[in-house]
Amino acid sequence: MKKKQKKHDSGEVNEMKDKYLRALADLDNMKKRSAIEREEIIRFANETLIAALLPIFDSFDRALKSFEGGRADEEVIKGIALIKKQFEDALARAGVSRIECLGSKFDPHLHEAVMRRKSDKEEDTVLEIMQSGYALHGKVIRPAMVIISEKEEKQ
Amino acid sequence: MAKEKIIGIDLGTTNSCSAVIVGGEPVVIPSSEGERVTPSVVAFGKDGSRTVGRVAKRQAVSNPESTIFSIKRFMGRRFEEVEEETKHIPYKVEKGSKGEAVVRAGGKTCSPPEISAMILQKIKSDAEAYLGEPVKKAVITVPAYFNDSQRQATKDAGTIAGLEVVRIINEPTAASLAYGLEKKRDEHIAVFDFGGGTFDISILEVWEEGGCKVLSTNGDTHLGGDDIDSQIIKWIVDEFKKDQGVDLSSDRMALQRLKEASEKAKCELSTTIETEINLPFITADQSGPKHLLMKLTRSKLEQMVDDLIDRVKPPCETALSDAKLSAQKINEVVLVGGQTRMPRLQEMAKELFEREPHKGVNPDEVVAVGAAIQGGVLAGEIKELVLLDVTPLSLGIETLGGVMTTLIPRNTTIPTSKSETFTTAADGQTSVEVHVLQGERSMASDNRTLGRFHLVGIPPAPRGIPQVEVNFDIDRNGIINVSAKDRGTNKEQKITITASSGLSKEEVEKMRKEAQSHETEDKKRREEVEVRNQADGMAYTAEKTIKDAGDKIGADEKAKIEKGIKSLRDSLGGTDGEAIKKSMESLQKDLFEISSKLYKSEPQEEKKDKEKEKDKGKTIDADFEVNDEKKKKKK
Repeated sequence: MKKKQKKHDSGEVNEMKDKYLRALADLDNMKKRSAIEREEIIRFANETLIAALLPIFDSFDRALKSFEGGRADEEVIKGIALIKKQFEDALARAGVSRIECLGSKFDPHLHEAVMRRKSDKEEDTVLEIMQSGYALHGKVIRPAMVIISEKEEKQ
Repeated sequence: MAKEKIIGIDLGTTNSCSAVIVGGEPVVIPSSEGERVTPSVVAFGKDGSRTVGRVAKRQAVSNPESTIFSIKRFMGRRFEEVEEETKHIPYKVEKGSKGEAVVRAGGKTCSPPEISAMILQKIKSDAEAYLGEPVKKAVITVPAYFNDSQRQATKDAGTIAGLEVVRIINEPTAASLAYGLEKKRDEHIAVFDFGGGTFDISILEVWEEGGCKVLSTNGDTHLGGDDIDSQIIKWIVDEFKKDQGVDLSSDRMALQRLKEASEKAKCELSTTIETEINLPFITADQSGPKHLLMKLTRSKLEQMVDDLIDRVKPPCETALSDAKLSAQKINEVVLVGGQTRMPRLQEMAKELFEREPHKGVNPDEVVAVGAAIQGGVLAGEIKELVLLDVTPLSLGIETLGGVMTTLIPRNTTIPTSKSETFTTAADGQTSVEVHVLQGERSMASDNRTLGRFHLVGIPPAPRGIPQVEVNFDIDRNGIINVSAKDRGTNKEQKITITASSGLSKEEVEKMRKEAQSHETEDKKRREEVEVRNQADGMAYTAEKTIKDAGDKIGADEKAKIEKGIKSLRDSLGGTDGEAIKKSMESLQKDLFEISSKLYKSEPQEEKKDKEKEKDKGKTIDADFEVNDEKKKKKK
């Protein structure tokens, strides 16, 4: 741009031109950035809400797990499982997917290691999921909390 | 073409944060994970990979010997100085060739500046992604107590990361900058920094425009928000044990949930006085599942952490006496660190310095924001900033029913212009009055008149047909030009208003307040007018419909509609809004009946007629839209 400026322009005119171009460039960049931000906002507007709902979803899992051993009425258990299913389907429709990781290699982009346990499995294998992780449109909104393996001989 | 940006970086012990000036305002740069802070953690994987920030933190358990955190505690220190610190960390710190502390991780030796550089590199690339341009320069903050060697190490870290560190500034100075306190010459500022793991108090003196001198600094390197969290967890565990007889402290998963819930409760209690900790199915024993449901009040929390909070007193008193000042000599108190959102801590700061602390800038980000401001000043971005003015009150014109229709809402940055097209309210109307208004009230008569003029010579036409374009233009001096142009004839009329600046700040404020207090009432009045306008439009449409339909509809139907129109017109003469609505509804019903009959009779008609009728159908629809959307101008 600078090369294009005519030599006979007075300093002040140049300065004004420069400021003007800068303002234009700033505006243009701002537009571009806000367009991207807007897209992101629309896509992830629900993120906070969904993140707040996940603990409730976890509670369903815990409730169902606690029924193992025949502590509650068969139909009641079935009913609660169905509510959980409804919940899960609604989340799936909103773009939420569970991070499946049991038996796979630990990946800190998707998982959070909570503890290590000695095992004959290969080092850093996910042995147990303590709390499921979820992604929204492929973006991790909560990493899975996992127990990972530690080689037996490595005391 | 834009000027090279200088970003501000708060390189913290546990978390780092960066900000930059965009369009004259500081903006916090989000990390690639979408967070506003980046954990100051670097990890070296067994496979030679390197991770930084949140991701590095997540894998800490899998790889404790090669996960480096709190590197700031080792920056520019000799090994002997930090031997005590090394006992608290799982990674190895060794003695380097020059006696400096170095870190052994991932099979190699790294100096603390190298580790910090990795954090800075991530911040740099996140900033580049955000700004869409290369970032080469930065202002980095350090604690006020950092010595030359520690400052040099921080600067080196920047250089290694490919950043030119244009200035190193003190964290408390940055916090003061964020509040614009550097302009207050001869003042004393206390910066109260209660972070996640450390507490710092600094006393500053502003000794020249833009220059702050640190008079004294003190603190507690092992006191922070994390201690408060642990206290809450301990309380929950104890209560649960008393209540249910189960010890949760041995259950990793339960503890993890407790940790999250405690932090959430703590944050909530900064704004509410009571919160509930609800963790269903927290554990189970032979008798079945156990649930945790507890109430925690703010006063209970304060009671729990009383002795922790009391620990800030001695450092503050020492800092004051080192600065040879009494509390009364402190002019400003600035809060830094997320934990300072806690009301009890704010009170404590107020008690100690006898001054209401500054609030407003996010305490987690205040240091980075201050660094960004310093960067903006150095880049010449702030000084050069053209002060853009805004319109203090909304500007608009009066439309049908005495309603104020806003064209330029208040707080719009000037210079600006806006145009909108209006139409006539009556058949054969040949002139319109443009009544220019300023204010926030819904009704024209409640606002201030800036001027009025007539646009004459509009060719006679049915209502809704002429198009009058009204244009508002405010130039950089706040001078308003209002013009009205008939699109059909290109006839134009305009007015220039310079008196808009006649309002004092107090008057503007008064008008705004008034508008606020009358909001509901104004809204109701406006709705009433809208219903009236709609009713008027419908009566007109109905008349037009029966006229156009001619003898396609029966005499009795015609009479029915006419009766409906009359009753609507009558109700319009009165003030009963409900009556208007009722007549409108009944007329609409009758109108629909006729329209559908007109369509039903179609098949027997000629095709040409059908097209014509269809068009009419459309016209009716369109007319309703006009009534709703475009405001008709009062004659």
